[in-house]
Amino acid sequence: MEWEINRREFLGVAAGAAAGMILPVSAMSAGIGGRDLRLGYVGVGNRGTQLLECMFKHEGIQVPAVCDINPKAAERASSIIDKARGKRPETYTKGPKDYLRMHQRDDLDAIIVAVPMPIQGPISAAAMRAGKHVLSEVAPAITLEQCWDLVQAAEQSGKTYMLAENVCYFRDMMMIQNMLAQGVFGKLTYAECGYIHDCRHLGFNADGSPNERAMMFITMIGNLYPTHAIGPVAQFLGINRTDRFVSLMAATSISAAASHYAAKRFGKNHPSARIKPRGGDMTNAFIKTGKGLLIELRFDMASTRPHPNPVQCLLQGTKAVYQADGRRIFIEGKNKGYDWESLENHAKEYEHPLWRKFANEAKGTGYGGADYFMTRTFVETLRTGAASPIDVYDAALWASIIPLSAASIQAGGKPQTFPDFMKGAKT
Amino acid sequence: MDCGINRREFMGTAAGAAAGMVLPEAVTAAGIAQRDIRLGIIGTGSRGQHLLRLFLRHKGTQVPAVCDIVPRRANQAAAGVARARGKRPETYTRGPEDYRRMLQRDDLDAVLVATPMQLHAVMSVAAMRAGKHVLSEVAAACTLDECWDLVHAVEETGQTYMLSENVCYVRECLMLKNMIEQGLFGKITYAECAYVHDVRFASFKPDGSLAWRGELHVDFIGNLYPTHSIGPVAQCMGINKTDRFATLVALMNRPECHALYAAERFGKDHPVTKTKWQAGDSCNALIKTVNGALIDIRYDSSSPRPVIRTTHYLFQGTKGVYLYDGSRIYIEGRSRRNTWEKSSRYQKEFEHPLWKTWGKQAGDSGLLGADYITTRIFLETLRAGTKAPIDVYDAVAWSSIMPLSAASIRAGGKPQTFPDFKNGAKTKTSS
Repeated sequence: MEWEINRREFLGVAAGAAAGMILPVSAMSAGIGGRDLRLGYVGVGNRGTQLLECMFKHEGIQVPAVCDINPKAAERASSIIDKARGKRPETYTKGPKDYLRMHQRDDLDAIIVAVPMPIQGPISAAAMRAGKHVLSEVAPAITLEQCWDLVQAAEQSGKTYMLAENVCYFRDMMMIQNMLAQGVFGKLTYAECGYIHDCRHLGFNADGSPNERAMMFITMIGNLYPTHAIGPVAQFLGINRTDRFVSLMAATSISAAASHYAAKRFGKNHPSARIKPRGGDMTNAFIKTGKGLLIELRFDMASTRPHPNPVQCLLQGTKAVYQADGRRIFIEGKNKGYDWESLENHAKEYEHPLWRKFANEAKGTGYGGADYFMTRTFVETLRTGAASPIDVYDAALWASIIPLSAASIQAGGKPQTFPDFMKGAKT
Repeated sequence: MDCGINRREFMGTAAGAAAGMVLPEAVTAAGIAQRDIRLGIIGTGSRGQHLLRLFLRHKGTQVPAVCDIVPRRANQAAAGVARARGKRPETYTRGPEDYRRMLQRDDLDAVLVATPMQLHAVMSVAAMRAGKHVLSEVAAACTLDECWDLVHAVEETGQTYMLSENVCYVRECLMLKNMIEQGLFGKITYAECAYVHDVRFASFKPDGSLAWRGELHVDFIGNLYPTHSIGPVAQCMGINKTDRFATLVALMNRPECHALYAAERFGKDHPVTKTKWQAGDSCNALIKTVNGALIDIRYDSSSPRPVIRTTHYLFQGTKGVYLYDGSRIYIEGRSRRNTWEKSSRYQKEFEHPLWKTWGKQAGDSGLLGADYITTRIFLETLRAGTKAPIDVYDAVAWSSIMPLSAASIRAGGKPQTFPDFKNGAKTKTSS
């Protein structure tokens, strides 16, 4: 079967890419080369628009088509494209399935998917099946079925899929990646990560009713936004390359933050003051890896907590330890005494080569410049035909934390085994 | 009497802090109000001698007997007592069972147990059964059987048992408890606590053989030192008062760091490098309470990580959040929107009554001051005949995290149910 050959090639490349996972390494197939790259956008809300503007930082980008259920959003994107390239794209605004019509165009190389989380998986899979490469926003999927469907779509189509997990391209994360490649941490033993971000203010309509965004958080249980936290850690640990996720167990607290917030904002007698999300305010999970490492993963998007940096990360090796909170690092033999230092003290030696080269170009793009490096990597991947550095197996695995954490919570904390997405499509 | 006046002051304070578990509460038995309290010390290593010095700082204490397997240590302690009280205590140094001979004395009211962790339970039980009150160093026990033995010993003898969990009495922890009890955090939904302290140096004796900490990592798995982390959290969350630990899941990584350290310090050919380490470097556990709160507890005493503070706490409530690392706090309506502030801003307004009473004598805001208060409270508890503020049910609930985390790890992460030590024992006694 053709897709099996693709898969083998694919896995071969992935294995070779172990050390420098965030960058495309060797060519998988003929790339697009130097010609213009033609992109279609599905979803040009706030995030889609941000990714659109960022993409124009790169050379040779055309955007012939954009799609959004909101005609105003599509129009705004259209103007941005017109301004950047002197040509208006075609807009697809005829309802929630109009992206399928856009997928049928034969002048698109790739689709950028930046839609609400529950439909990112299906739209990405459809794009690949229509012969388009995909860059998908996070999380890529919310159920195991969607995860498998993405894997199958990528394997059957041979198209390139990349997850737009921009935290992997944060300056600090890339610096750590560079340190790891040089053996600074010794053997990795343990990691913590988390996404702690009070987003309650985004969850309500003006009349106090929960909005569409909030509904996912109210009706689903588990870690509902795992990739910003687990993405960088999975890459540090070489997950899907030299190690794998084996099992996960999760527990959640009671839910009290949403109702507290609603009561304060809309009054004690408002129905939202009695809102009862299925999941608790804080959901923690432990992941065990094949090499016996322990990863702790936290998720809380409701509790009252200042969040100057919503992404938590701690990486422990036998020779060094890094903690994102405070940008602290300790490297045995390099730090003075047995004390933390600022990561900045080591930037001169360990700044990632890409950041050294392109920090200026990245200025002004989203998330401290991370979006620049993330989109640049996607463009390079397509041009060279290299293996995607955050491929469909990574995406499916990271996203599967959503359903697996839910299953574990429902089973009272019982460990859940990760599906082996790389072993081949589910029969 | 001096101590009597102190006691009245003390009880007045306690009444003012009604919900305050760190203080002795209702009187359970006649106290030792009218005379000196006579203490015996089992274990006069560095920790035992430190606590002994504090007991000698307090008025109204006598130390007629000390015990240690190392005669030099017992003699050091005896000399200290002689200097402070003008009378040298009898020493018990005839091997590991000699403490039993000391327990037969009829001139001891209470015993301090400050031996290696593996011995705390058996010695505490023996002391109570010999009619002595007990202040035990942490952890209280290493196995569930030991936990039950402690509970039964207290219930059957009526002696007072207190766990010497000093972090509960650190000034900042006390303030926090006060704030939580006064509702500044709203409802507590989540807490984190951790003991992360690279003490590999203490796992080995100078010749490279294993010290008790090292032995723990060979003989046991799981969270091997849970009380410094869980103690303050349990007290702030009203565990065993208004809530209870329900279940626990745990996971650990592979042991790597002890072996590396041993090879580096003692050479690759030293016999200690052949040690089969069982406990992983890190053990993490999640505890669910009956009321639905979630507690995240971590243990790591071997990974190379600089100390921020050896313990770590996080309290998350509906109205506020506190982070021990950096002493950061955020209180809705008080703090600037979405901005951490220093917890010291609240120190004056929410100073704990206990610190108001003894802070000056305790002096240090950290563990030294906490040790002063711990030992002082134990004495006041005995004088007043009140319930111990950290009693045997607290001690075993906290210490049971060690065997329960091990059981969960062995079962591949399966949830373990906490024994209901309080009610379970009651049923047992009445049946």
